[in-house]
Amino acid sequence: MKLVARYTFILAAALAIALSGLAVYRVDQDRAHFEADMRADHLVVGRILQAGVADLWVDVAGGKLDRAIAARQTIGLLHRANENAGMVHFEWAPDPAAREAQGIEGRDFVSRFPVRAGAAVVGTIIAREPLVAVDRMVHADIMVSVIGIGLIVVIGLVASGVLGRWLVGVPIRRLIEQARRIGRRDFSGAPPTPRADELGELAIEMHAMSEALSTALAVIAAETDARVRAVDQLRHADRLSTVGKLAAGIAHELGTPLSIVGGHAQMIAAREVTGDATLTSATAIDREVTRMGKIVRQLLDFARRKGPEGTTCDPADVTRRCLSLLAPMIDLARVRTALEVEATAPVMIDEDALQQVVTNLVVNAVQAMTTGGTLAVTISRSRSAPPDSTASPTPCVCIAIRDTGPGIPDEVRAHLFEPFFTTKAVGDGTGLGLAVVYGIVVDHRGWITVDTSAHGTTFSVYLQEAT
Amino acid sequence: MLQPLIALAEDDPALRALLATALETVGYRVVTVATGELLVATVRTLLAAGDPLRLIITDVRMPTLGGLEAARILRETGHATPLLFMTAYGDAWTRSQAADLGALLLDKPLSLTVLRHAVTLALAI
Repeated sequence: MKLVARYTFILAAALAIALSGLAVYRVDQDRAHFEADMRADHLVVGRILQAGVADLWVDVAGGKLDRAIAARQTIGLLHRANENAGMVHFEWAPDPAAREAQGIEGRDFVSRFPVRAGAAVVGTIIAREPLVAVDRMVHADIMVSVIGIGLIVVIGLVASGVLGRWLVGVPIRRLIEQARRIGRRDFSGAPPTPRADELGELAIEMHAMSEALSTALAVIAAETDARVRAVDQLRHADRLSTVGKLAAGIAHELGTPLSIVGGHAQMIAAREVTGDATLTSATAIDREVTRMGKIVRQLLDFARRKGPEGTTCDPADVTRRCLSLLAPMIDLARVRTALEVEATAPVMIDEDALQQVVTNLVVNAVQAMTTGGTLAVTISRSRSAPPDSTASPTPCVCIAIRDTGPGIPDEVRAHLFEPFFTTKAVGDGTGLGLAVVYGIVVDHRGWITVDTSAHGTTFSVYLQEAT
Repeated sequence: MLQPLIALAEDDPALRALLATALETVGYRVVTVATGELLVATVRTLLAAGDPLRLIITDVRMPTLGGLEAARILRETGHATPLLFMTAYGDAWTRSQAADLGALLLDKPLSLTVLRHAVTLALAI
């Protein structure tokens, strides 16, 4: 409520200053009026007395009246005038020197009226009125002003306080409470009652803001929830060690065909299938056994990768053969191929193993380009050593297979050569391809580097030249 | 009287056909689907049409939408049909997820006898 209080006090102070100025001006005016009245009153009565006294003294000048008697009669005349003149006191000064004059002398307003008999001034009538009356009037004026100003200020204070509380204080208090609620993430506030002023507008805006914030927080909460769930699943996936993954992969790959084989066998044994249906069951069993055989063969490839000792082959020949074998599949994927043999030499690996390596890498590259692209295979010779090793460089042949696909995300790249890690849909790949490639190359004392960006990925296979 | 209706989701076509036959042989009516998305859609359609769907059997790992996720979607939208999961790799995490959904979990390779017993049990609850 500090705002209303401050506003009220400033208003009251301004009111008091303005009214005080007005009061001072009015007191000044009143004093001037009073003095003007006094001056006029003295003049009227003074002139009449002046004429009356002058008549007396004409006789003195004419020798008809004794000076002392005239003086006594003058004083008597003034005495009578004093009885009816209220605050004004007239007195006679035989002093002939003074001229007519009016003015304040000490605490009195004094008017002097010289009396002439003929050419000579015989004395002066002095009208003396104490200024006490003016002072009293001014005092009363000031009292009235002070009381008036006091009353106006008090009424102003009360009115401004009450109105301020009602028009400003209460709505602001409500807005503060709403802001505090929003701060505590409590968005339960009811919509504000419409008011046709800025505070009403502010209340409406604040309510809208509160609702927008509430929605935004709900969205964030949902996203956080989803992220927590995703992280949880990721952790779950990560908990599986390589062996665990291998076991899970085998279980997954073999679980379904085993269920099928077992199921058909059970149904045949229970005579649930008879006649031609038995033949269908047998065909299904055969198909699933073939499928399991293929999985087992791949596992064996993974486990026993080394070919006969000492055999060599030409990488350019093998690569050419692979590309021609895969040409229909490559064409179907709308991928163009470019083979460039910069330099080649026999390498220490048997042809079948190298063919498997190149085929797997080419198939992966083509599958990475879902909307077509270019597959560039380059064969070159260099003196190289594996990255992150201290071995001295040896003569190598490098087969670089580059695609124009979208690149490999970091989280996938970390698991690229792990068995049963696949990004393909179930049935499209077993997740063994790159693991087999890696195993074959490493077994032949070679290595693989992967260079990936948003514009494509290059797998480079380094194999040592035959000596 | 109509035989109990079962929804079956399995991405492997051969296993799907076998399981459907095995269940139909012992008198159930079976609706088969190949993906989690189709399972959700089919269950909703069946229940909306007032069909008394008694049981959902689903593979845990299917492309794009797995059985656990599909079941969670159905539970969240208020469908309380009993669930039976099948999985080739039922680790502790998968088991706890199935238990959270109040469902039975069968390991692959599946025995048809075990499956039929589990179905009888699930329908009796």
